[in-house]
Amino acid sequence: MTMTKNVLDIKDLTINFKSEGKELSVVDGISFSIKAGETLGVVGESGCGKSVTSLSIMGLIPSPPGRVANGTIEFEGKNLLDFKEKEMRKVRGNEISMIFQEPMTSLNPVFTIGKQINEVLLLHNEMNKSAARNRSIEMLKLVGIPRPEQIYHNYPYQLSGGMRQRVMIAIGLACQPKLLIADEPTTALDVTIQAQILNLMRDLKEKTDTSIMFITHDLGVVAEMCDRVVVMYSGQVVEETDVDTLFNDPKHPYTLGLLGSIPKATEKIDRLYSIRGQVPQAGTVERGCRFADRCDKVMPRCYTEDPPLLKMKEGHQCRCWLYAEEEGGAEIDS
Amino acid sequence: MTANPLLEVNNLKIYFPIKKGVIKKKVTYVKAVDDISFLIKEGETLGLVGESGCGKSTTGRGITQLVPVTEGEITFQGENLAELAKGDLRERRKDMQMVFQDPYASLNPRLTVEDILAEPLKAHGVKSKKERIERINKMLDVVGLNRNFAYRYAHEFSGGQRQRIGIARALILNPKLIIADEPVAALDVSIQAQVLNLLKDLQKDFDLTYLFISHDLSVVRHLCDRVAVMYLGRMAETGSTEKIFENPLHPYTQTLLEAIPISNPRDKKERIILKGDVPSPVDPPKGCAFVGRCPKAFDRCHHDRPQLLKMNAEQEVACHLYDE
Repeated sequence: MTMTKNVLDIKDLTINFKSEGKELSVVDGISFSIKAGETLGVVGESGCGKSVTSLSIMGLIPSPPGRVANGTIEFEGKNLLDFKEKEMRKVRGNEISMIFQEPMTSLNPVFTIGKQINEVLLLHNEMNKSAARNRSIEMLKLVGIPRPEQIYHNYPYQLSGGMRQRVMIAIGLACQPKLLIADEPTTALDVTIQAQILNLMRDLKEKTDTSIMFITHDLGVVAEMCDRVVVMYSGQVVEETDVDTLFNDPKHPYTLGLLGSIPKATEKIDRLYSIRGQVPQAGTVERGCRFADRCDKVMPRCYTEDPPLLKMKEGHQCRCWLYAEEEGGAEIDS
Repeated sequence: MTANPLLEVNNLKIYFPIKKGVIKKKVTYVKAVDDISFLIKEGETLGLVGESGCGKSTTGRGITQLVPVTEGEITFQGENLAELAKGDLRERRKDMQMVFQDPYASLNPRLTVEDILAEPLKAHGVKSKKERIERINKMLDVVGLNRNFAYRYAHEFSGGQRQRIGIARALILNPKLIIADEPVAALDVSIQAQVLNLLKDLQKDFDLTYLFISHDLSVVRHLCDRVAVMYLGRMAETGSTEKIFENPLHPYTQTLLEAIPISNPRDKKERIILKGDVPSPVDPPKGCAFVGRCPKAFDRCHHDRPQLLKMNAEQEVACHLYDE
């Protein structure tokens, strides 16, 4: 075990949603952790459960129809699932904060930018209004907003998409959280603005030493930002490793397929590799590997038995029967 | 294959008036497309790239006459579209079809797939129901959908399948030109690869010409023969895909390419990051549109609008850096 402390520790987390009388596991027994100062990427396609996982950390799963059926979410050693709503409110936006994909809709259109940053500060700190105002302007400056004193009095509609996302980051970091959850923060932005925002997040991480959980479907963004990566498919973790191994020695056929599917700006190939079929709906595969239908290397065993998460090497795990014997992988769970 | 130009766009301008007051007086214009020219040869794929608000979608809509063209000439198969009578224009539209970005919004939720695909056939005078069904079935095979899907509604399909329906609808009249406006932007990566491969196969099988509008440079590199880079309603650079990606000349193209996320953590690079946002097309800079963000701007750029200059056989650029 390494010396650095885990900020977040998720163990066997299962989240069910009720749909048409049936309960489906949208997230099914996932475990991972984030160390202090680390950026963890959570990658997967729509419906793989990555956003639901992040909402559960914030205690924001709509219930009903959703509920956490099993597992623990430990934040600095305390299980967040045991927290009462009142206690959770002290954590949210203060120790853990979140920035969302849509900078257009996640700001309140009827309040000024300043008021929205002040709100977090006043809620979580013993601070008077003028101190909050100074701190807000300082935050706006930190995230690279020009003319912060003026922008402070502006409304969200007066700002461009990139500027709004900067404001969201300012709100997210205002209370110096230990963990920042970023759910596709650059997906709605243009490439040049995306590059600005990613750069900003990297700089801020160095300055504040915040851990980041970076949820994205864009592997390019993962290559730029993350230290370690968790690949999710249909509610399960299928591979977990450091970022270099993910790109240069990936093991799971799904990870390989994802990497092959991306057109590259640096070379021209005639045909893209494509994973056949569709992303399955969560909870529909009852037995065997969830990726079996779409996998090129599928074996009879894959349809009948759930593959366990196998250890490839220190810090690299993969959920696939291909590696059950020949790699000498030891089972981590079953 | 001949290399005749299928579509020629000359000095296209599309301005949207901004009206104010009770009498709706036109105060000013949004210059969405401001004097651009390009041509697409038969059988090739031209990628039209740029950031949001640069006028790339408006250009696509202008070509199909879905938005009124303010000025300029659009020549399709040798005919000037603006001079055609309404009925003739409708006839020509058969040869140019659009595929839209959002497969969730571009299909009517109250129609079955069969109705959706039958509509263009009806509009263009295929009267026999038997023939329509035959062509619909054939088209479903072509785009890789099960024939039974014809009786289902759009909401029953996933994003990738819906985009296949959108492609089938565009193809069913055997068009020559397909204008695809961000057709894969809303899809997951694994599905995006399937649709891109499908578009490539269809081009070969049906001799299609594509105008591919996209903000995703990696996708453009994969699919296109030539690329046109737009900025704030104007053309910044055009050229073969090879030249644009290997030897971009316009400072905007250069920074745009640098902004693409790396494809492997081992290629970490130091990059110039563009400052600021795209300015408003209501009040674009006087000289070069890019002047406010350009790292290499000099005096002349502020008051003199650059024209496209031919740099070599395959590349044109609108930048004063290359103007003697």
